[in-house]
This record gives sequence, C-alpha cells and structure tokens, in this order.
Amino acid sequence: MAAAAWIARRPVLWVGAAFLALTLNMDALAPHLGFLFPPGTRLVYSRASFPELVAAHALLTGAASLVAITLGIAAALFATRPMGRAYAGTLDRLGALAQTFPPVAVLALAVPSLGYGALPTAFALVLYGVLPVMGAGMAGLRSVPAPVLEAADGSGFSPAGRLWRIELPLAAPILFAGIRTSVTIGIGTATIGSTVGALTLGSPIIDGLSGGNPAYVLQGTVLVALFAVTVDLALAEVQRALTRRAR
Amino acid sequence: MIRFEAVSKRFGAVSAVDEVTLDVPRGTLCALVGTSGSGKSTLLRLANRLLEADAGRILVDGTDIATLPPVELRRRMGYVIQSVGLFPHWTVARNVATVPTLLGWPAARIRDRVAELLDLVGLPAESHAHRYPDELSGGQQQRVGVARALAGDPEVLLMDEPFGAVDPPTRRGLQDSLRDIQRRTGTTILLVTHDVEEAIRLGGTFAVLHQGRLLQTGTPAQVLAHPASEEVARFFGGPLLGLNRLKALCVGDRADFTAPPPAVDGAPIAAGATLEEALARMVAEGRAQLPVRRSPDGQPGVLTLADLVRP
Repeated sequence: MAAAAWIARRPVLWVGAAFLALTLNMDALAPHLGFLFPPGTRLVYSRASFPELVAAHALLTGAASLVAITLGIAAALFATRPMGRAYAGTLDRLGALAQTFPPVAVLALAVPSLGYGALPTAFALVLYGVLPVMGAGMAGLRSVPAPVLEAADGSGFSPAGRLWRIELPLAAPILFAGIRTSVTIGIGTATIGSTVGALTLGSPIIDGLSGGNPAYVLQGTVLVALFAVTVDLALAEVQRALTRRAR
Repeated sequence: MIRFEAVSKRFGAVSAVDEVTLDVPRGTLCALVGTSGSGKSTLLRLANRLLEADAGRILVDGTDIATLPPVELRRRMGYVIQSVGLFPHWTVARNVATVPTLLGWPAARIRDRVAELLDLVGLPAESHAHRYPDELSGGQQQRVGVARALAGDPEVLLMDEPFGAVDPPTRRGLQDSLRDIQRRTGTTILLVTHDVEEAIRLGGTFAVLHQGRLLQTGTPAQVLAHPASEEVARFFGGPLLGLNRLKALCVGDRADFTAPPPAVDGAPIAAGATLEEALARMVAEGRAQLPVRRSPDGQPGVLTLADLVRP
C-alpha cells in the first residue's frame, strides 16, 4: 500500500513509462490507427525508427543543455563575484537580447557558417538555454542574505569556501529551477532543428507537415510532448530533494 | 590585546574613523559606544579586516594585522552581528562547528567542543544540536551565534550590537550569559552598542566615539561622573545623565558600613545592587534610607538618599 502511494505521488514514473512504451511500440501501434486519418495515409514513419529518433533528440538536447548550463552557471558566478559585478547589468541585457531572437532566425543565420544538421541546432539551443540558467543563477546567488555572507566572511571562510559551502547550497533550489526551465524549453525547441536537417523527434513532424501526412505529425508531437513532460517531472523530483535539503 | 594606533578610515569624502588610538587589555571588555554614524561599527570591522584601514596600525597580541592573511586572522577572532547570520542550511551543531571545521580539528574534538559550547550558552545539545536555525527563537539564534563565535577558542570576540534585535528580557538574559562566559573564558571582547544600559551591564570600559573621533575612554562610573565634552554628556542621557550614573555604581560603593549600625527598617539591600535599584526601592517604599548587607561577610550598613547624590 505504501509503495503504491509512493508511486502515485510520483507522476514521473507513469508518464515516463508511457513515454518509453510508446517509443518502443510506435511501429506496432501505428498500423492500427488508420481510422484517425484520411484513407491512403502512410501510417508508419520510415526515415528512422522511433527509438533512434528519441536517442538522437536526447543526445542533441543533452549536449546542448550541458554546455548551456555550464556557460550559464559560469556567467552567474562571474556576475556575482567582486571582479565581475560591474558586468552584471551587461550580462542581464545580453541574455535578454539572446532570448528575443526567434530560434528559427538563429538557425537560419547559423547555417551558412555551421552548415546543415545537428551543429547549428545545438548552437541555437545553447544560445537559448544559457539565459534561464544565468538568470536563475544570479537570482539564487543574490538571494543569499547579506548577514549570512557577512557571518561567513567574519568566520574566516576563503572566497572559494564561502561559494562552495554557503552560497551555492543556498542558491541551489533557485538555480535548479532555471536549469529545469532551460532543459524543458530545449527539448521542445530542438524539434525545429529538423528544418535544417538535424535528426530529432521534429523530423516526423516536419516531414509530415511538408508531405501532408498527419499521422507522422501526431506521432512526433505526442512523443516529444511526453519526452518534455517526463524530463520536467524528473527534474521537479530533484528540485524537491534540493529544496528539502537546503530548507 | 588589541591596540589601534592612529587608525583612520574614509568612505569617499566622509571620514568614518579619524585617528583613533585605543588599547583593549587582554581579558577585558571594551564597549564602543556612540550614535549612528559615529564610526563604531567601522572601527570594529577594521579589527578583523572586513575593512582595511587607510592609515594607522592595528595590533593584535603585538602583531600588526596587516601582515596576517585575513582568513587566518578571522579564524582567530569570533564575530557576532546583530542579525546573527546563522547558515540556514546547516544544523545548530554544524553552525557552531564552523570555525573548528575550517581550522581542521579532528571530528571527535569538534563534537565535544560543540556540546560544551551549547551548554555554555544555555542550549542543551541533546535537544538543540540537530535543529535548524529557522526552528529557533530570536534569542536562541543569538545564543547559537555567540557559541559559533566562541567555538574556535578565539583570543578576541568582536560583537556588533549583538543583542539589538531581541526583546528586553531576553537581552538581559543574554547580557548576563555573556558576562558570565567572559569571566569564565577570559576572552577579550570588543563590543559595539548604542545602548548605554547594555554597556554598563556588561561592565567593562567605554570608548565613546563621535563623528569618527574617540572622545573619551574609561569605566562607566568615570565617564558618567566626568563626561569629557558636551557630546559625551548628551550621549549618556543629557538631562537624564544622572540616572545613568546610578546604573553604573553599586550600593557597596556608597553605603556606610562603619559600626555601630543604625537601626533601619525594611529588608536589607545587597551591596552589589545598583544605586538605581536602591533609589527605586526608596521611592517605592517611601523612605530616605535603606539597610544594606554586604556579602560575603554579612556586615550590615546603611544607605541614605544623601549618599546617592554625593558627587
């Protein structure tokens, strides 16, 4: 009973299970969905298998998120240290500017220099993903009360010790909320990478739209939505654990 | 133990501390008093190099602190601030263990030290060590703050209005604890306060600051009896300065213990009570003299209203 309640309180488990089951069985399920679509619609996407699409999508967004998170945290740290405090405003504005660029425009501009495929997509995702991490990182680090910092200095923490033991643990819940936003947005945005030839869950959507095949569009959409929700819920679990520990 | 030699500190055009020379002997408590903006907090923060002096030297135990790494210096000095600044993500025990951990003490010694200190500040370790700061009252948090500052066996304790944010009865309890702790540990304390009563209760010397300059030093009784200037007199109550003098002196200083003891009605007042208490009793009981009993020898004496106003 307790185990059942534990699972019921964690939607990530059953949403994740649905995502996994659908990914693995889409090819078997699709032929039975003909009644939903106009007669003659090809029902099974054939350019790549769904597990392949999910893996490619995960790899692309995972790598881009890793870079975006690293850059975002580095920028937030820089902007809140004595040497970088003067640049905090500039970084804020630069980040806001980066987000006003539509990702499609970034892709279009990146293609001439980076070519077609995963690389320009990753570039656009990184550019897009940095801002929420940087913003949340700065907000988190600034949320540490001034008396706590003064007490840490007065107790004799080194600057690095203060950052590691006091500031980062206290900033973690807010910082992690930014990471969660960044990753979730990235999973959705990655689909448009397929307009410039990256293999993602956007591929069936783009191919379906251009080829007039609603079955492909539906398959890609459902999977990418389940993917984003699963990851978001999983990160929410981590965030909850962090908040509990940081109190 | 701490010696300021012609120390100055400016913030832009404002001179926050202006050529202050002050000596705090080992094992004593010195209260830096003055109005807001008098430079007392700045002077305190110069002592552990949270601020750097523009001119002059500060010596701790004979060593110019400018030659010591700030981090090392601060670990040798306890630091307590009004807003406490406990680390909210750490338990009480871990907060108290801050400096010993930074100093790299072995775990067993840290554990013993934490238990000892929580006991010293009146928070039993069994019931408090594993709580988090947000589960404590303001007064309890400040006790933990004091314990944290004392944990590394500091030679010097720096306190910036440590009890300013707690209610008056709690504050008096904390002041009594601090006086007791100081007697037991022999720590040299430099304390900032704008509360005259607090400075008197803690019983050390005063250093009166005004607009960054040191106006007068001395015991509360000396300073209140002979304020060196208009500003000092104004700070110590202006027209009510006389009442503050009564707080700084005790019954034993003024009572007459010469035999034979005259017959005076009423319960005797302790020789260690303040003259303020004596006056309060005279007013409440409607009499101009009180019997006095001196401890430990039990010698009887008498205190009259005239003794209170004697210069």
